[in-house]
Amino acid sequence: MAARIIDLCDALVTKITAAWPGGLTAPDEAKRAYVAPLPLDRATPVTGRRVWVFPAPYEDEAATRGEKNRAFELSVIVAERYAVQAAAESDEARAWFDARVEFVEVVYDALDFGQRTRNGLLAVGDRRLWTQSSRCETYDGEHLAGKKLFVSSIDLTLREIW
Amino acid sequence: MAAAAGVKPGIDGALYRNTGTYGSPTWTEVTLVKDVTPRRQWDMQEAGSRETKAKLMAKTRIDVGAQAVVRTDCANAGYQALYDASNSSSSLLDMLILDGPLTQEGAAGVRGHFNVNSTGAPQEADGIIYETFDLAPGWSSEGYPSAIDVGSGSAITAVAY
Repeated sequence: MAARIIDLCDALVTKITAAWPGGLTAPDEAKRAYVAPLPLDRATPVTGRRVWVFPAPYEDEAATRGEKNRAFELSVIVAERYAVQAAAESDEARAWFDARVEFVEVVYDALDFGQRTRNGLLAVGDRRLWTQSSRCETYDGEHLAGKKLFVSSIDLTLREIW
Repeated sequence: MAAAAGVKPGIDGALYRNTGTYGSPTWTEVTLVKDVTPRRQWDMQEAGSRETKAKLMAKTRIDVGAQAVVRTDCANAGYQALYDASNSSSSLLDMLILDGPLTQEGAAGVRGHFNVNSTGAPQEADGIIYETFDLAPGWSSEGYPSAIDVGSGSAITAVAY
């Protein structure tokens, strides 16, 4: 049995893969990772659209005298090499950026779990989790302008009682 | 109260309801309890005189009860018993409120027939619903509220107030 936090990362990868517009095909990829690949530079071999899911801290508080309310923090990074030849401020480049921002929003929405939200609760093993909070950094301007990379990150907190 | 010395974690406290009879109780723990705040506070009246300049007080009656915060779960029998009692204008629950489990020698608390009153169950968007129940003793022909000491072998000693 893997660590719970690893199971959660894998569950998010599954959800992201399922939500991938048009289906995920190589060289695009979604996977669990440990080592943050940032900062990326021009030499970093990023081909296709990459989505990495990272485990982050988790903590408990008492839910009842016999149960814990556990909060898991997880991070998702989306990265893709800026493939447009036109200047970054051009309409062509903006359309390319728009498509990536739209993708990030699809991923963000796919990770919204709750009893009554669009995706329902996230079932992992015999327990179910909900998204307590989530935050998206739409894009990283430094990577975009200086390193020709579109990079976006999502930080979220999932909770479960067990 | 006899027991080994040491700290008593609040999480080891136990709130039981009697699912048997008063004379032969079956104590079933309400497992979804988060926090319990028991109270055993006497009313005090002045009982001084010119004999002394010290203000003397005397205990008259005691307020025995508790406030219990319980996670809402309609499939849990313990929560449901509290919920049902809180909706009733007359039903009392025979309960045992201890600072440790029944298996722990030295655990102490009170037993009584309690009115159950719900004082709130906030439904916050980011929260989990917990219901706060106030337990206040009511009259029962079966017995009055008692101070409880748990001895060895889970033996209970009750002293009525």
